[in-house]
Amino acid sequence: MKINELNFMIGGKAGEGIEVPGNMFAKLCMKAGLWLNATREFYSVIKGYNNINQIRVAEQPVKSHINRYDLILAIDDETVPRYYKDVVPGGGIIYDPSLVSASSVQSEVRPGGALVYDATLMKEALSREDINYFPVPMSDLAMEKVGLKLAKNIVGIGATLALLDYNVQPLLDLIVKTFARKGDDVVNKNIDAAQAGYNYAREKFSREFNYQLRNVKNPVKKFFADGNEVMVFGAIKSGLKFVSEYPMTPSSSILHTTAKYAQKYNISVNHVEDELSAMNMAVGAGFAGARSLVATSGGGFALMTEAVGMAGMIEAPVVCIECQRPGPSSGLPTRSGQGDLRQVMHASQGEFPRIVMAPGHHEEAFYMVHEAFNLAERYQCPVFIISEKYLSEGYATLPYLKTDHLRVDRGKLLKESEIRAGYKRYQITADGIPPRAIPGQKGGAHLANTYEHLESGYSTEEVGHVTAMYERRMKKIELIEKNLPAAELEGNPKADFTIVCWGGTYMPASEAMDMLNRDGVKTNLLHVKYMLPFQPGVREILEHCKRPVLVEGNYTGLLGGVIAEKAGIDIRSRILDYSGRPFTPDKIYEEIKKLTKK
Amino acid sequence: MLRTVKDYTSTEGKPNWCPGCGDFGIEMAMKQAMAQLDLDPDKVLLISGIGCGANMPNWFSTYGFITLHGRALPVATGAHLASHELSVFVEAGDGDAYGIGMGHFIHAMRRNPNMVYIVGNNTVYGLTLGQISPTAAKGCKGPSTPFGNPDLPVNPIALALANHCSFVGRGYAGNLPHLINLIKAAHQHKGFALVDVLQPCVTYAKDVGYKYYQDLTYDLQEAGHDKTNLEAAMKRAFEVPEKYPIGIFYQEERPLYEEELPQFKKGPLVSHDISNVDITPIFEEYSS
Repeated sequence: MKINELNFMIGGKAGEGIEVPGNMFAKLCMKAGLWLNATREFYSVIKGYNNINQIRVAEQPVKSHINRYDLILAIDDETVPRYYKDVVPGGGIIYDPSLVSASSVQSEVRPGGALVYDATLMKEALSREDINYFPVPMSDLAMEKVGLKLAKNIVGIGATLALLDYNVQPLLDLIVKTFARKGDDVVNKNIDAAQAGYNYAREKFSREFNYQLRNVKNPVKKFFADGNEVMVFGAIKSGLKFVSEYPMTPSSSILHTTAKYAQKYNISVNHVEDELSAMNMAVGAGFAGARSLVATSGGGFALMTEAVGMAGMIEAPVVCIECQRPGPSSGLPTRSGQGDLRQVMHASQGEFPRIVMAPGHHEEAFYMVHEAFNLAERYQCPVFIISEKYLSEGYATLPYLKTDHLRVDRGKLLKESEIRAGYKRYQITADGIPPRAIPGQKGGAHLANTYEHLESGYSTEEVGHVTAMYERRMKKIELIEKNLPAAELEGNPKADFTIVCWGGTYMPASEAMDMLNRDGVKTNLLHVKYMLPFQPGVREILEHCKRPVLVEGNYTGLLGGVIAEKAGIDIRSRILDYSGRPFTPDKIYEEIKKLTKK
Repeated sequence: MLRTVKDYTSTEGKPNWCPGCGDFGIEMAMKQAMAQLDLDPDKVLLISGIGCGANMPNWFSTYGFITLHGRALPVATGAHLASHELSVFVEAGDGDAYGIGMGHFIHAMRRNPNMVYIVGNNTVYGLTLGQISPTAAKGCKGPSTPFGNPDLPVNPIALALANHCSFVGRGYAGNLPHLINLIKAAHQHKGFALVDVLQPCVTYAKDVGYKYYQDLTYDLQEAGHDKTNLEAAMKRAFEVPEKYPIGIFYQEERPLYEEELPQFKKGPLVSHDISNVDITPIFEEYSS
């Protein structure tokens, strides 16, 4: 019997609603005092195609998703034949016998999307002897109780709770809360649906399943959010005042979440005409003195490129979150990948200081975004946070994050009273950072100029002036580098293998490290957080590692290239994945196990 | 003491335009308008794109920002929303405004931020040595169109009229008193004000020079045009190229972008205290 340790998955067609019951289930678990990590895999379509929602629950914080399921709730026909092999022995599948039976055949084949199955495959999918099958007539119960087939997902969640031997009441309360705005009728129908599923499972399969959910005593106060939401919270905490964005998966929820809080926190949030406008506006707002943010994915970022250089040239603070999806071009809109590192590092012509960093998990993302706004103002340059779909749209429970120690640092932004006569915005200073006045301040008038300029901002092409200004600007890079936190090695410093990764790959990699160590394969981990300027300490760490293994979500090992360039170390062992799916701990574990045999 | 042109003039250097360039007229009209409006130079933000005319902020003593080709409007919109009590003037060329930056122009008109958009319309790209601009007539010859421009010209006035622009004006760089008054009216207008300026390029567009416009321009207001009549304005917009009406084609009162949003009620965003924002309520919201 496993208590409070469950990897649950809901599978269904886009449009059938796997998100609402998934969120309900997750919230129930959070209310029960559990920790969880949840991620969705879905096609870039609005209706049809099989999507899944993976929710992993435990009494301790959950590092990553995994693809071995303890319980699957299949509300469509396709989930069972697709995923039956991924159920662990002793696990179970809840399915709808009207959709899934030994005589089911494919009703509609969707090229490029659907799994093509026939009666043979269905029969096989329903005949594993080491797992439990729970046929629940979800569609029929939904029709019978509420006259609405679409409520089958709620029936399914009711049945799930019964199998996990958990009380139905918290689900009913959550339904009231979730659907209250839609009126009593909708609330009551969903309550009936949930209750019907619960009762059915109680009667038919009572207490024969190996997994249970129970309330945890004195749980830590926590909240449940995805990576994009957490990053927005960090931005709001840091004094976010301006957002301009054009929707693009998987960054759009940054726009949605900032828009939701725009009035409460007095932020100007703008859904603008394109990404050219988004970045240019944000630079304008940053120049004028507002903490400003843009978010996009690789394609949108490509359009922002020219304005990135403008921010570098006029030394405007601006923060950009680039949520990667696999490319090239439109690529895989709703999937995850890590192919944009070099694009972000090198976007725009010429040379100028910028900061590029990537958080590894939700909590780090919160603090990193907060830090990004301080760095942008301290060094007067654009700052980039690279995320990926896995982190941006993946959910986690987090403790209420500590914020008492966080400070807003505006660098050399002058108060009006500090502006002296003869003020020069681009003054050649010892540390390279000039004093900054913003429009409207008395005595601070100056020209921000994308052409090379004098200390006043006035255009120049004279050799002496050009080189002096260029050197002053570029000098900031040394200063930034000097003040970056050094890289840290996680785990046993004497391990045989060192996983080297960046971004959200940290989550599965960190769990893989634990799995390998439990298995006697001594492994530690180096998570590189700052790519530009390159994080200090990486070379020193790698020089003492027995066998570094690069783990990245791309084909060419982009971080590996950066490490070779900046630290002079060529990492030969590589685990690379460009399938559009995030790494699982299992995959990293298995690949490193293979290396032990070489 | 009343302000003069000198109060808006940079001490760093002098404009480097060709002698006789229409940009001199636009520069002078802008400074005169600012002086007559008695604007505090520290409260003025002049934002430009890229081109001969867009070098203008070099020669102003106000806050200035020379941005990218075509992107003056979004940069200006961002700066304006961050600090909405500034007087924002945007200066662009016809390539900036009606070529590479056309998309932003259309959307700025919908948004109606409070700013003056002055477009030097000289039908050529001067800084890149005389190629045709989007307002050049069909058949015009230049280095990129040796056999004549195959495309019809953009009609910026009609475009603005068709797209919710709340102030649609046209001036002429060779008629300074008229242009000064037009820019003043545009600044006093609450909302997004387009001032398209017919501007001779004495080096590359000799066919459409001072003589040409001197003969073909006439003052709309003197001609009794009703600036609240959209239909009449549209009719006048299509008088080109036989005649070039100058003045205010159309003006309407519409709520400003920032007026309809409560975020801006507590003063410019840049003046808000950001030192200790409390986000605990967000954690609470996401915990239930």
